[in-house]
Amino acid sequence: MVKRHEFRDPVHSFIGVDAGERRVIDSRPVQRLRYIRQLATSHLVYPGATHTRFEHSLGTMELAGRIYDAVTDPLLANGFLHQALPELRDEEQRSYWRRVVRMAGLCHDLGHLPFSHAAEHELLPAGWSHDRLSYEIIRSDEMAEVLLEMTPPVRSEDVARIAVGHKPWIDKILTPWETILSEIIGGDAFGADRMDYLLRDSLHAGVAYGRFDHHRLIGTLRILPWRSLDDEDTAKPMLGVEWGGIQSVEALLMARYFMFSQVYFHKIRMIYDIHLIDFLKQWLPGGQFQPDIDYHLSLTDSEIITAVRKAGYDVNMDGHSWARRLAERKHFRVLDPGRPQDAERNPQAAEAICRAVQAEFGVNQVRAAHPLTKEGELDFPVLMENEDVVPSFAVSDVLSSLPVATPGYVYVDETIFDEAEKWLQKHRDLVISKQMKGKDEQ
Amino acid sequence: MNRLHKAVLITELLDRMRDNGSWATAVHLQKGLYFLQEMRGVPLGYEFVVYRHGPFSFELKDELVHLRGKKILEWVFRSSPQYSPGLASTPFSKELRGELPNFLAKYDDSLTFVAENIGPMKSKQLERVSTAFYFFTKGVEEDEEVARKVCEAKPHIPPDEQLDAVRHIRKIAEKAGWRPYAGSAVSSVA
Repeated sequence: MVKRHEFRDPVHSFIGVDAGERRVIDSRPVQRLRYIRQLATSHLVYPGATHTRFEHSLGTMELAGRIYDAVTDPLLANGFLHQALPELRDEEQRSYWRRVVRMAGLCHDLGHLPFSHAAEHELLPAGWSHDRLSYEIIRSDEMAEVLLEMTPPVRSEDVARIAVGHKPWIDKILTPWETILSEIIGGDAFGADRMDYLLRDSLHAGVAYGRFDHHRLIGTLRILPWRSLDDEDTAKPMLGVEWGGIQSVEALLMARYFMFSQVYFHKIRMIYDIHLIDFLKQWLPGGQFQPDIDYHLSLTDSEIITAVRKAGYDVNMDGHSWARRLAERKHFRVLDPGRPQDAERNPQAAEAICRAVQAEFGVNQVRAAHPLTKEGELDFPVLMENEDVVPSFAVSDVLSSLPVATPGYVYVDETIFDEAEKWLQKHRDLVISKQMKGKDEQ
Repeated sequence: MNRLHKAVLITELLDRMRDNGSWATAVHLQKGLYFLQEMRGVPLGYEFVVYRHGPFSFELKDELVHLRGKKILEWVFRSSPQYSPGLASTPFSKELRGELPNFLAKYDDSLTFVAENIGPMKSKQLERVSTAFYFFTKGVEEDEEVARKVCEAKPHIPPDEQLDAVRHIRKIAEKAGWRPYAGSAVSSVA
């Protein structure tokens, strides 16, 4: 008899695993995720947002398995699918890849640094990212061994590719089948990762915006033939949805927009992330994280939180001035929240204002946040009741009306706030137009 | 190259591709910018992988979303409801380009070259020529070997048709002055 284990989960109620999966969960790289917060410094704004990458990884594994079962259901297979994705014809293969997809869901975040995304872009050497670290960790001897012990044995290389998808540092080009599987994990529209983080982050943050009917959505997902508008002869397999599920997709995409604008891009959360990066640049040896697996696995939020608390109260420690802002909640104040009328004149208004205020008041007195929005995939196939497959835009008015969040905040130290505000009021027009002119000389 | 400079090049190329008959969806624009960077050496800084329709950059995809958010790009919906939307530049993007004439002039030849040679291509052809060129940049030299590798990655393409596409893009690359050199995929033609 196959032994099952169950985890209680606040989003999915119960997540079941077998003994082989349990051993992977018990591995050092997966257990480390218990000590990496999902939302970096967001708990300083939303006190409930203290959940971890560990529970999110279990949730992603659970949803990835459900999506895989829905879209590979033999009752839905047809001539197109069997030709485009021969793996679907073979029950043994179908069963093997189900295991791979679940393990990819479980392992997709192994490479996250302490505090997740907050520190990734500025504190890793060029060419490295959490995805690349995940890829390397999954292929490490430690993970390869435990994956091979599963029944049937699972190749770590397969899990690694499906977990991170198409990446320039992976030599092998993913097959159409692997492309679909990687989209089940990280796909922009219907990926298990995004579904789980929206549901989980909204639950823990106490923000209802992230909710949508994921049961209905998963039940209506299909692999459909997709044709380009100017190439109707070629059909390629792509994840899409039955017509009856289009409202749940719309709800997911709206949820995503609200979560980005209200939680992930929250103005105070963003300045705390910046203060954390400033601290780490001074505290870390060489000012960077090292892309070394053992080093990576030894570091979690716990070590960083301890360091922040120590440095925050000790003027002699590296990074004291930035750590104090985190430890004592002395974050910079919003000087400029990003005015639409400025953005209409200069799309880089926040950067322009930041540079000008820094020149006037000092580099370390001013910071700016202008993150790049990531939008879900809006263009996907929809299976109509008459069996036609049409583009999503043909059946949804909501998709074409979805706004894009493009925040741009400028912050200053509280001690110079009043003076900086007056200065900006006087020079704003000049700052924005002067910065535009300067660009043509480069 | 900063985000504003990229925005200016992206929208200028989009307009010129449209003028040359492109359907100008995100797929077409991705391929145009791929050739602008990899064949003409314009330093946009995107990393491309071979995806569903050929070389594709996820960073560029996010950049295009950002430009829509900043009202520099917008969607254009065709009269037939069965088609996905295209992309078009906005009046605001024209104002921005008007502020940066010297910068644009620096890349004028490259923009024209890509718009004229790649702009008229349809999705099917773009997938074949861009994936073939991807293998050129990886140092695969023989046309037959390039065609074989493309068909291996994209089994829906008939091998003889792919070989034609390889030879076609080879000629365009030669016309562009593109030369592979050791250790790098990108020539330095501006």
